[in-house]
Amino acid sequence: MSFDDPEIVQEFVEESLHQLSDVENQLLQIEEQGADIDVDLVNTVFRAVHSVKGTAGFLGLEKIQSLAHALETVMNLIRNCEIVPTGDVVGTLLTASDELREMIINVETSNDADVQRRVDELLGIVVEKTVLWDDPTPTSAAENSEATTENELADTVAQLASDLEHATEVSASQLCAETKEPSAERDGPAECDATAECDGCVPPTEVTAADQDTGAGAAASPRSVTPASNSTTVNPSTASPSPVNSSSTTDSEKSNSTGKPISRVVQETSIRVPVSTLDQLMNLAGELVLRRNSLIQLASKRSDSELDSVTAGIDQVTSSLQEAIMQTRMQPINNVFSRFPRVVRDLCVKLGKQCDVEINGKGVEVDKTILEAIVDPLMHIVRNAVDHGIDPPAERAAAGKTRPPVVDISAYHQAGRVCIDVIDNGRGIDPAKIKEKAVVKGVLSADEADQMSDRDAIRLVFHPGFSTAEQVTDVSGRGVGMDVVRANIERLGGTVDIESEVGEGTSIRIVLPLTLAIIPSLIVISAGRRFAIPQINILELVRISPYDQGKRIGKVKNSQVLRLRGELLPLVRLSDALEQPSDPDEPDSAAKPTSIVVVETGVCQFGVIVDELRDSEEIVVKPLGQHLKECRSLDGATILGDGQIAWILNVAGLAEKCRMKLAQEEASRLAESVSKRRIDDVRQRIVVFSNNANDRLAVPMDVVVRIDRIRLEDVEVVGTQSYVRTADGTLPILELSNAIACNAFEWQSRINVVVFEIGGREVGLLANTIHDITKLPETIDEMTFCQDGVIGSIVENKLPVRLLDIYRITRILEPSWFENYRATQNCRKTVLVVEDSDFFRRQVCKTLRQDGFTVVGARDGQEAWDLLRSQAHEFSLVVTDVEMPNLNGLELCRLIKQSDEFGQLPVIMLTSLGSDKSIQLGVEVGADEYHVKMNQDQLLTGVRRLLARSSEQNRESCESQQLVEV
Amino acid sequence: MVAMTQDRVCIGADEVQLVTFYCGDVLLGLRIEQVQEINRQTTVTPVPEASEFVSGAINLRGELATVIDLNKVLGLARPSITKKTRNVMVTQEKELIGLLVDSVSDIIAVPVADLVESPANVIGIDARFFQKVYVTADSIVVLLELDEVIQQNE
Repeated sequence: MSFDDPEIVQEFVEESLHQLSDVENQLLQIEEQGADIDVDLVNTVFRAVHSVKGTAGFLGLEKIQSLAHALETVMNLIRNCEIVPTGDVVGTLLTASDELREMIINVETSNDADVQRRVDELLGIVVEKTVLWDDPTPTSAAENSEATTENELADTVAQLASDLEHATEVSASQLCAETKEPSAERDGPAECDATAECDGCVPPTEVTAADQDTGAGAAASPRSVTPASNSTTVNPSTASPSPVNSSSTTDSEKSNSTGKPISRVVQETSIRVPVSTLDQLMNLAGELVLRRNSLIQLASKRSDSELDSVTAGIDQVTSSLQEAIMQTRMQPINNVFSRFPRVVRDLCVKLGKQCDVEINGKGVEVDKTILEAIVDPLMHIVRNAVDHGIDPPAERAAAGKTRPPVVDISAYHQAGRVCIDVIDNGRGIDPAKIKEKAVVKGVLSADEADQMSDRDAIRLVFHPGFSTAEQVTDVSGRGVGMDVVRANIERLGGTVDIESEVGEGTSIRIVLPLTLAIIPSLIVISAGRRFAIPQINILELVRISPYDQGKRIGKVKNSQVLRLRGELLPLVRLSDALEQPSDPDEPDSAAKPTSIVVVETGVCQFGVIVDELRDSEEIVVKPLGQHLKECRSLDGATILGDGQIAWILNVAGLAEKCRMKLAQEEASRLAESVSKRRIDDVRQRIVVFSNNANDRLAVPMDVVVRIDRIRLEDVEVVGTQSYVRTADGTLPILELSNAIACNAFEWQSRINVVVFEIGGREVGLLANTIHDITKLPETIDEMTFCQDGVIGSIVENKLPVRLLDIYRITRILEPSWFENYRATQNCRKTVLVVEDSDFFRRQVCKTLRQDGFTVVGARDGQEAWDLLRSQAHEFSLVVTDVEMPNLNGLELCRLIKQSDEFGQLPVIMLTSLGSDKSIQLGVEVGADEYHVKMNQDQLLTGVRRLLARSSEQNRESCESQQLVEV
Repeated sequence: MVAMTQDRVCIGADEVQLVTFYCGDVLLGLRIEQVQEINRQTTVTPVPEASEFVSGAINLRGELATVIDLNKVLGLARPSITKKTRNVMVTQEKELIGLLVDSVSDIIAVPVADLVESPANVIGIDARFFQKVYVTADSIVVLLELDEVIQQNE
């Protein structure tokens, strides 16, 4: 049998053998435990076999698949306590798993193997279970009593065997093996008949006679041999009859190639290096970083310029070295993605469905270890999407779906992490069905199900032993999978979440760290000890002054909660959670502000109270030793610059530990309030601050570059202009009272400076108190405080807050900065602004009008498209929102760019989400630029740039036309 | 006799070298090839959630090593850490592990034949933690069963 892609097959072989490597011992352990089943252990075996089955299915390895399926069926019954794993059951399972392994090793010929007997045997267990329950078969009872005799016989045989010729020893060793392992004979009547033909498997009473016969027989067979001296110590697992023993000579000849890797000569430009070598390099580089740090410290004490330059050189080389080593571990995600089109195609053929695959972000690079670990979970998700998600053609037609079914797999970077989205437009998940199932399976009580939000209900698919498929198929099975998927992803320090809409489809998002070897982390202090919290888990940092503590931190029964933007967030004190002994040097915490790190795991968010926040550092991860594996809240350790050890927190483990401490009802209520926070909240965030006792002001978060805290001495006044001295120079300060009607700034010894970037320069706005960062409410009053430089007002904590137009204010105060803008803009142009929110549309229109453009507004993509086609105006540029009813921004952009008429029209997309993903989508439909809403400066710069470019193009095309005419 | 074996530089094929150390009043021994080094790094970073046998972790030249309190494993009282307290570093399945002991005594060469099966209960330590004993004129060296000691902590 030949394969289209030998590499995939080779990988399958390696992966499967790895997965099956422990099965033998696990099965023996299961046997030992008998009726007292360790579900986790059974699950482990089940999953291993399940994975093999799944992959074999796609590779067209039917025989492997059918044997694995039968094995899996039996394991499932054991898991559900429908079968007691007695000796004969486990014996059959062992035989089957050996056979499975043999077939995988000889994968090329596996489809010629005869597995029917083994399959029948396994299925026989399933059929017999009702009959044999609690009633050991007479055969096995009889055999048990003979077990001791067998052992005695084994010795005799060993003795005899050592006297025989070399070749005879083979069968002797086999015989010993058989007799020492009673389970081999315990396979029930059917098995006895079947095995009676094979050499060695004869009833124990006939051993001596059989020995002579088989000895002669074996002498003729050209097998490689095991010395008889081993036979006395042969271990039971290898003794169980393997296919070599029980099958015919032709089979045994075939098995001579066993273990030989499938060799292929491939010329490669790269070389394979063991990951352990890379790890070692990585570790050494980490060490070098530490040594470099000490060197820098030492050099700074000496003030020796020669030493300094050498140190600087070493510093640079070390950093580059570390980066280069990191790079060796990175691989494009396409290595995984490239398998999916085929997988989906084959699945579709099998299931009689139709489905396209769209893959985006092939070039995204991820650490090799992560890439490898993500293969199985991702494969499972994609299979699920096709099997359960995508609806058959008939069903789609009935539902009136016109779009072709598609599974969209995309990878992209977001905030230093890798996101992988798997989105299908299939039938979606019905939360009601999930709840019903959960109740039936005893996962939830009926009451809990009633109270559970739909979103949380859908998340139940991650619960162990949960499957929604009404029919068990051999494609994505019996609810293994999603729980494994989640466990595997969390083990990588990532998260997975699911969203689904009935009839619309399902979307699964996996968020992963870029690498496991070095992770950016925040160092915190708890009870005098340092801990590292991976940045990937951190949402934000909250600092609460002692004065605010009463208001912001509340108590629900015995657990603390934080009021954060109108929601309740469960709080955990790190030192309590870790049961650290309190630090005697720690001063009374009541007088200090509380530092809270808001973290998230896939399904929950909570705040961690720490004593102190330190720097963010790139830390080198050291795995925990064997004695520390049970520390669920720790993920590893790192060695900091000063040689001290800091533990890396496992946020998911911490959550698990602390949720146990929350009373059940509180937990569910809190979880609900937390789950209301959607993954993508499209509302903008604003910074609320004040510059004196009366005026409360706000600016959009997206235009803020950073917020600095400075001392009064650092402010300098030159003429009418104030400046703040910074490390890199001076920062001009906007005097707000000169631009809008407000009171003068109240000076304090410590001042906050909110820094913006306008027209390529940084400017600051003074604030004496930063109140909060909050979401922009739906309603914005544009009338009450109508004034140039003020966008509108909102009500926050019952106080009016004015939302500032920082761009406008800069223009009013520093008109000279904008002079060249006017000059370049010598002709009046018409811009089409498409935006469904009245507020944002008016805002953008106003900004553009103030800059001298003629502006026409449209409420959605359809209206805009109609306007364009009516040709009532001659538009030079389109500015459009993304999310809109009727026709969204992406579709509008696609229409424009694909039309002959408007193909040249520049399009700027606006969004409140500055993520790579949406930018990527925008770029795909041909958008020229992409800007964040309410960043007027960026928008205007973009508009000018595009208009200048298009007028240049026009001129060029005019010129070339003239040339042609001449 | 004892002095003679100690003075010998060459170790015969039928001899083993033992690193001996004290936990409380008990003189314990490990075969020298089991010991990687002995150091004074007794200030450890405590590990939250770890079992009571784990006294903490240390940074041994860039490697993370778990330190186990041998006294606790053996069920002996832990005297406070003194100037004599040492870390006996061993490698188990490629992992560095430190055994915190009260003091290090000596390195002795012992004829294999002189290692004898221990009586059922020598010094009040669970019998599974030692394999054999070596009796000298004035003391008994208890040969530690390293695997048992380390697995005790899991």
